[in-house]
Amino acid sequence: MNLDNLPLHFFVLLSAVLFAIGLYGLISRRNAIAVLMSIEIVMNAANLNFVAFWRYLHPQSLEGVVFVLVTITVAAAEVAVGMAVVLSIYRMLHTVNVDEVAQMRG
Amino acid sequence: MSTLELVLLVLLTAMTVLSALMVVAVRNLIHAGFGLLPFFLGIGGFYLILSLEFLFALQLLLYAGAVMVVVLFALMLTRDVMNPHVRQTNRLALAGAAVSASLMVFLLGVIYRSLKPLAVLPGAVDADAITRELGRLLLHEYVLPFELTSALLLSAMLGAVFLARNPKVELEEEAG
Repeated sequence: MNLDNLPLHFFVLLSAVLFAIGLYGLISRRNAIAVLMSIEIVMNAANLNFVAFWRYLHPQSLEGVVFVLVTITVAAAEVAVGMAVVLSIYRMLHTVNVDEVAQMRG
Repeated sequence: MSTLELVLLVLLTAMTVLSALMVVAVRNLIHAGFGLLPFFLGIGGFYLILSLEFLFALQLLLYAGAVMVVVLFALMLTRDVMNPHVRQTNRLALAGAAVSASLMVFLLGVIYRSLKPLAVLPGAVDADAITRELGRLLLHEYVLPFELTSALLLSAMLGAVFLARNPKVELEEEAG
């Protein structure tokens, strides 16, 4: 695609909107898996920001893209460990709701 | 920007934002999990607009492939404790909506005021050259983060296997 006069504003505003949506899910969801899905939305919003700033401001050096590559890998690791923790909690307590898991509350 | 491009851009943006809303707001969590797919595809579409074919392929493989599968597996394995008719929000939902809405308004205001209007993409870039340069960077300047990432992936894999195994089953197998 060739969208030559698309401003940088568009990407930054879009990623701010996506970040806010993900933050809402992060705060309001009860299910731990849904919380992890909201984290994915937040991370993708941040990635979009990195890539947009790279493309518009520093297209010569690829640091922004390297950041995104590392973020994607870390997100994959985070999802794997997060889901393992959720399954372990589910097996022990037979619930995946974060507000019912209060074993460590003092 | 031609009319066709504008229509496609609006459709892509609408798909991304609406599927993100679906992920955070739909009551049936299986539907919310499937909402992640158009969301990841939409983000990949924006990578394509920014001429990053390599990142688009990675987005498809890792997010729309691997992460989606793990999320759906976890949702289906724990399906018996989630009732789609029960409300899926906690008592912070209203406060969360207020906080994220005000954060969004604040961010939009700041961005709108402070960013200099950069109306055009600075020249076309060669997608093949980007991928080649990315490979060179990862094995020269950024070889340390690259190798640390592989250590992180290995430990995450071991940790996930350790956490998700069922100790009861193993005890029974040893006893029997």
